[in-house]
Amino acid sequence: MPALSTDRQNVIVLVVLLVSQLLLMSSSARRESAPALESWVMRLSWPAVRLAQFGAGALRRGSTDAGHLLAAHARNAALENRVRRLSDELVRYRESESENRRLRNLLGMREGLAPESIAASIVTSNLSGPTRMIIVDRGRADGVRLDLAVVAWGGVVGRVVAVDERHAKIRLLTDANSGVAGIVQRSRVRGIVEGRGARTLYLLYVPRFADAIHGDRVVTSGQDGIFPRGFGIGRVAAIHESPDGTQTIHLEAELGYDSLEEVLILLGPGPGEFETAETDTSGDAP
Amino acid sequence: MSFLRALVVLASALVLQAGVGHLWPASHRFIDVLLVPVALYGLNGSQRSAMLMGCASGLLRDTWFQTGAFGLNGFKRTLLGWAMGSLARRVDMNRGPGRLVAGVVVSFGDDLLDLVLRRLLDQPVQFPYLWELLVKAGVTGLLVTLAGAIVDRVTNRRPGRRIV
Repeated sequence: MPALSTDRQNVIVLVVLLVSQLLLMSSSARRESAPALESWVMRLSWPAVRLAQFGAGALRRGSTDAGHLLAAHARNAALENRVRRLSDELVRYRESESENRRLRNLLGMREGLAPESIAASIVTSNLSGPTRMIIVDRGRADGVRLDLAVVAWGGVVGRVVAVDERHAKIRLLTDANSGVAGIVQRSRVRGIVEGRGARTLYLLYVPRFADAIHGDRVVTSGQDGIFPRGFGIGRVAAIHESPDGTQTIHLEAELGYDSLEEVLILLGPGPGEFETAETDTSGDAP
Repeated sequence: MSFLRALVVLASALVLQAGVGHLWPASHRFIDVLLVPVALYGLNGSQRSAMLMGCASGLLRDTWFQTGAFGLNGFKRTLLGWAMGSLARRVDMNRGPGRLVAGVVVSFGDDLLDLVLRRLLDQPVQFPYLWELLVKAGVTGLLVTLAGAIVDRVTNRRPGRRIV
């Protein structure tokens, strides 16, 4: 019997297999033996499916964990951003604190450069007639002494003419007995400012041809040895020629003495320490 | 040895198919890993091996992933294995592009035979969308190509030589 060729053998195998499958399908349709074969195949291949189930479960758990990890990573990134932002804010706060400290030092330096002073509240005042004075709640116990200059925001108030332990009497610049060395700020013309018991002040002993015009500002010159230079006194309101060949300049006082509530007593430097007197300041003497 | 190797290949395909189905239940419409061994054995030019592999693959599919007439998938894949082996004996397709084409052909052939057999057996037929067929064919082609490359690497042989 001649041997079958490979092709024929294959065809025979094919036919056998196909017929077997057809029988399987047929029996499956009639509900006969197919379930038995199916259960056998299932039993044999179960380990592979179990392995797949296990692997897929592990993969799913891993992906879930990875998802949680990613979410945690995102939260972590958000928190890191927040920490970074807060750190930046902290740096800014520290910088502000440093700046604050520097400014405080600067302010302290400014206060150090300025004359030592003490604030005082007005206890009582007399602003009528030729006498213009106030009494403040600072006295010898606070370092107040005679002839100290008293100023307020905007200009000269007056000077201390009497002092006890707790109070001090201050003669205002508008008092008829007051006097202070003044200078026209624009032209540097000097003179003596006196009060006459009214709001108007007078700049005396100004040469006839001195340069002073209406509106010029007059400030302390510092030459009287009591008031530091530069404090405002008043503005030129009128100019009159005097018989003695000088000018008398009427000044509108810069301060509203009627409305004073607090003043600043300049504790130092003392009289004569501001500037060496070049001219006669007798008119300013108490 | 060949039998053992076939068992390993078949078991691997079953593990992959079951695993993918476990992760993505709808994947059976687009991925049929159990077709890959049929195509690979057919590409090697051994009709008998391809037919046997097709029969086993079909039975596994019938058992685990299909309801209805038991043996339907075995029948058509036996036929596919025979056809693929016959084709590979005439044309050397056991290379990258050839494997891709073989995978596509096997996938289309499987779907076509499924429709025809179900109609003949008077089973309920649900015509798949064309894009589903295309996706499945493409995926199968890629899987056959990848599996062929892995087999080449494992058996340390150059593409194109038949090992069965």
